[in-house]
Amino acid sequence: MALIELSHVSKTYGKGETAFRALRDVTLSIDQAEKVAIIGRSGSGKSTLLHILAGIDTVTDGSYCFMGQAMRGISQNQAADLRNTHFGIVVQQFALIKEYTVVENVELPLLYRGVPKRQARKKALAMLERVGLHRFEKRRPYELSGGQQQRVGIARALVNEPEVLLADEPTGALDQTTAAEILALFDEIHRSGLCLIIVTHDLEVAHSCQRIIQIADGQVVTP
Amino acid sequence: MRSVASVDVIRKLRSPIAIVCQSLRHMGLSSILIVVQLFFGFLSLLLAIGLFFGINSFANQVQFLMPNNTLSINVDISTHAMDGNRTSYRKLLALKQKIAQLNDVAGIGMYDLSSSFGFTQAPENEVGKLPMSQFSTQPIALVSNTFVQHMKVATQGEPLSAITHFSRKNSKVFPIWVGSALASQYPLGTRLIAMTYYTPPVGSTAEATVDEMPCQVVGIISSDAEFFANNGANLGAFSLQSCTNLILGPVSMFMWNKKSSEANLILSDNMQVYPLPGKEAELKANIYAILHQRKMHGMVHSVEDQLNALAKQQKPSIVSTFLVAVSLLSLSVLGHISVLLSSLIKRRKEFGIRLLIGARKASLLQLVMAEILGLYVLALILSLGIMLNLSDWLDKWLVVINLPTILLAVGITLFLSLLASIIPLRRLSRQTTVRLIQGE
Ligand SMILES: Nc1ncnc2c1ncn2[C@@H]1O[C@H](COP(=O)(O)OP(=O)(O)O)[C@@H](O)[C@H]1O
Ligand SMILES: [Mg+2]
Repeated sequence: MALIELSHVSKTYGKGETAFRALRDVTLSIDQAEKVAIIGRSGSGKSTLLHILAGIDTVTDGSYCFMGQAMRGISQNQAADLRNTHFGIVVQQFALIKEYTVVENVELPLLYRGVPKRQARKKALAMLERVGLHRFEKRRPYELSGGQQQRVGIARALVNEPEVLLADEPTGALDQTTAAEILALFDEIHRSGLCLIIVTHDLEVAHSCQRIIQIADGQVVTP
Repeated sequence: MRSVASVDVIRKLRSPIAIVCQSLRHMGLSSILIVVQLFFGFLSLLLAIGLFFGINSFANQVQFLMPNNTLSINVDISTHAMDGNRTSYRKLLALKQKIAQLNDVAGIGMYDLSSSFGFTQAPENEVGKLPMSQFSTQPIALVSNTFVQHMKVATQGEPLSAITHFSRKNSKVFPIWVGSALASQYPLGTRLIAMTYYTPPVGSTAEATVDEMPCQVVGIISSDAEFFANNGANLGAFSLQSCTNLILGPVSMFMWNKKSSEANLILSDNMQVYPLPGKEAELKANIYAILHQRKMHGMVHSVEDQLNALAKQQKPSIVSTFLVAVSLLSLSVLGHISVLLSSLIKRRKEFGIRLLIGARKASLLQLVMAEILGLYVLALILSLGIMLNLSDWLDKWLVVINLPTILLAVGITLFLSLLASIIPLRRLSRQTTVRLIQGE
């Protein structure tokens, strides 16, 4: 059984004349420990797909099963809990809370999960070490470079030991060298057994993956 | 799945300071604005409530001490200088005896001039019916804390077996009456310093009454001779300044020491008459007749009249403090809503991030609520600190700052600030996760 199964998924934004179909009849499945790139032009529906996978958004038509469980009809709270425990999400603009220090950012998912403070701190520090930022834990996000901020984002995404890491243009805001470092980190994460789904329009990033899913106008196309 | 949707909040609730810090961190200036608004809103509300309750509790205690049908006779004896006072005191005594003989009188007391050296006498056969008998034939005690110090100096080592002092803080009752009650605890011959709220005539009235008293008065202090000269003792009986006036008191003491006649000014005096049940109107008419017959000027009021007069006198200040409180609180509520709304807009990205990593929406609301509560507590501590420090001074203006009034003010402002948070929080909770995550 595949980890992620989408069948005939459509997503329509708005209603009536202004209705816009961002995804049409998307059917795909992704296995555990796969490393998949979702590519396509800007506006093709990549982020929409990622949002649906992460349970941030819901499908208009079709069905989405995660770990064999239908995602349709689950409550907002259940979706939040799924995101917290099974998904790690990394975005282009890093999405760090600027009022929090690096380590406070990383431990937050653990705290939402109910892990005691001290234990959470310990785990967050270990995760920071894994992404090579153990000496930066007391800094604020804006005191770090883009590459370092993205590492914090990745550490936060991994800290709850999710099954899937979803990344939306993770290298989009980074220069080439830094991007390469992040890709290397992804590689290492993948080797540890995680399923990686990377949305990108960067072909170099895409080619570092085992499989490429191309989207055009909301539809999956065979490259 | 798990019950700790709001760990972040619960963790912070453990320390109020942490919550305040958290609010300051996330809301910055906005949180200071909220605190300031709450601060003034709470302050004015507490003031208004304190005044409202202060007047009411004062009235209640007066009524507790004096039966409702008690009549106060405020007699104008318009005399100056010592000799005149002796004469007028005799006139008063004569008046009192005359009134006491009326058929509709259950009892009579002279509470100002005479109760300073206190006696309330009922006709022998009526004593059992007299509700005020506990005040009879007792000298008065002292008034304010600060006065005690002044008096020790002023009596220059004159040995005192008892200095009783009265503070309105402990007993919200007019001190003369309390004094009467207190003094009943002292044995005959106890040397007391008496504090009255106007200047008694040294050497005349004092002497005259000392004979009738079980205790020996070694000093008499007036707090506000002029005030009472102008307003009449009756009115003054309800004024607090008179009891705790810290400036005029020592001045009068000094003058008394010098035996200055200027300190010995009495313009009016006050008696209490207790009518037999149902005889109030009759008695009132009879007293007026006696006054008229003796060519004395006076007014006869019921306790109710006096309390109504007090309420009337205080009504504008109650109304205006409530108006101020209401407008400040409305401003505070509006400000609260707008500050919260704008800060929630500013924090959309942060909320989006929290949702992204798996926070439940309810936990976001709880987070904001906890922060608001933190700010509320901060404002509360600040304003309570100020109010409690001012409570002695406020007490003079009949404003009571005590647990019930504080709780009421806390309850109302808490309710309002929670109410003011509903609109912004509802708006937050209506946002879709996607939109918050996109920071729109
Ligand atoms: N909330 C929304 N309402 C309406 N249209 C939307 C919304 N979100 C995305 N879209 C539209 O859906 C299309 C796909 O968007 P998106 O998935 O963000 O594209 P990509 O990530 O591939 O650039 C775009 O044309 C975008 O304008
Ligand atoms: Mg996109």
